[in-house]
Amino acid sequence: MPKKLLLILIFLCFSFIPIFGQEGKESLSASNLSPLMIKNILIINSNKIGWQMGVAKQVWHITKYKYKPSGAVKVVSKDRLLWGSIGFYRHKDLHTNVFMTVDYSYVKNYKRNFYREFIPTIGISRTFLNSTTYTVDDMGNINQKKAGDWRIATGFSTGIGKNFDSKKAKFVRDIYLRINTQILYPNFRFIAVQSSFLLGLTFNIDNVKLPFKNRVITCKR
Amino acid sequence: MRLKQNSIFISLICFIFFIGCNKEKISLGTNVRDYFYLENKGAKMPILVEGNTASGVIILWVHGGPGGSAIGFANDENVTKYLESNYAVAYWDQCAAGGSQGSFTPKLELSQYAEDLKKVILLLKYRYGSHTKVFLLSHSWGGLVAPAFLTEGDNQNMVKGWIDVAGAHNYNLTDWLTRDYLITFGKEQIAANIHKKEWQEIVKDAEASVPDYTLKTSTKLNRYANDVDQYIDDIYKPPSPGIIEILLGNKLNYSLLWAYSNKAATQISDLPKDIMYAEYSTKLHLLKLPLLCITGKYDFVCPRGLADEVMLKTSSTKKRLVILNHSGHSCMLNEPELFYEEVLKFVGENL
Repeated sequence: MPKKLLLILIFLCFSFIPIFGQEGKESLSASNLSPLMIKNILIINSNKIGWQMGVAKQVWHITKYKYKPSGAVKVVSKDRLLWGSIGFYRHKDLHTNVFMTVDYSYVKNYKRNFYREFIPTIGISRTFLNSTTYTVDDMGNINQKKAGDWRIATGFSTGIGKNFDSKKAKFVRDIYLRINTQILYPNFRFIAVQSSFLLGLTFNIDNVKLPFKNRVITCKR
Repeated sequence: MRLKQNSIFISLICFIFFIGCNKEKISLGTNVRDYFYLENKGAKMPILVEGNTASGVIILWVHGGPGGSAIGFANDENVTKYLESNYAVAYWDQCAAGGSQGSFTPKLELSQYAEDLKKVILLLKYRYGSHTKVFLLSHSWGGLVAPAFLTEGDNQNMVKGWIDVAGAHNYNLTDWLTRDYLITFGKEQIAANIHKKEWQEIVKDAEASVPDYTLKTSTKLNRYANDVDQYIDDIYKPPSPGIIEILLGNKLNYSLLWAYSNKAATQISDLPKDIMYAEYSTKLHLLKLPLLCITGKYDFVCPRGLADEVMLKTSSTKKRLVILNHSGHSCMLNEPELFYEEVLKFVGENL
């Protein structure tokens, strides 16, 4: 049992490593406002298809100034988003899975509005078998039943995206492509791992604005 | 606003109810594909039935592992070509194997697998008719599950025959036979200067690995037994599928990651340790049903001595041993034409 618990804990801890570690001098400025976001995600791979919809709020905007010995300054821009979502996928010969998750996005912004992100996630899922399920009792009597399992759904996604210019596309915020690894527990007292591609669009809800915090970090080498 | 909220809520409930509904499909024909589940003690095990259910004969595949898969064999074109055109084949993924799903139950133990096998047979007869003739085709670890079921009560009366393919009905005996074969064959290869360096290492390690009922020693011997195929040119090796075929070529939409997760769940459970002590050598005499043993000449994983013991100790009046001279442990992949010819002959003789 301890060996199994250790393996599961290693998987879960891996998801949260990026939380730790910021260096340099920090300052916090007053809150800004960011529109509420609606995320729409298509879940696909060769065996399954699904949909996920979430509501997201920006939590942090981080600007990091890295001063090099030459005097040049490199500016790194990052965002942190918190979102909750509900989704489902159907894998024809495995199950249909309905899940609810809470996700935290670690976004790093690049030139021309491109970004990459890493998103650990945790939630619950309920599977439904897609085919007739039978039970056979000890007397040999056979019945049908609706079958499936409740599980903890955790995992992580990583991917790239592009923000749209807010002046040109006021409603659509960004588009992104991710690889998702979903870890379901328990499955025969262990975990079950699944993967898929996620193709998503984020929309701004401009009439709902929520505060987020700015953090400025200065690093001198 | 309230009406809209209620509409969304009702739609969500209807959706969840809809995805839980499944119409029962039982096909009787010459080219069928039925997919259904057996749930037993929390384990949901998929069963795929393909082929000629109108024949009234079902060959039930009891796969190896533990933690292997039967449904994976449904993608083998040789099974389709030779077996499914004549009879129906039921590919059953066992508990914590292949596409099966579960939570905290059941505990993985040999008696559970035997109970599951009995219920699978009952379910097949329920679906396809009580007159249906079921033959067991067990491979490797399946060769331990099969006698665990067959020797219990009058279970053997539920099936028309047992095809034991490279079966491991006694795990400690298997380890001894593996060790002996690695040493004797290895010394011959060394003397003939064939892959001398590799065989020297194998023979040295095998001599040091005396079977002691521990998983560590058994795993080591098993690893060598699996690895030596590459040093034996006389084994007919099937062409390896490319990565595209592995990912996209399956006619069954199969979740490889899920299957590997199940395999891992089996490996870290207590089952591999517990079956070190499993043996049915002392109960083989109870078996009277028709029996076909098939083994590969170069099978180091479950060497020929196991099949010899099954032939010697069972009380069956109709029994036959077939040795495939260019095969290793997976003889259905090494010499499929000969393998399926023997299976078809056995089934035809015992209908």
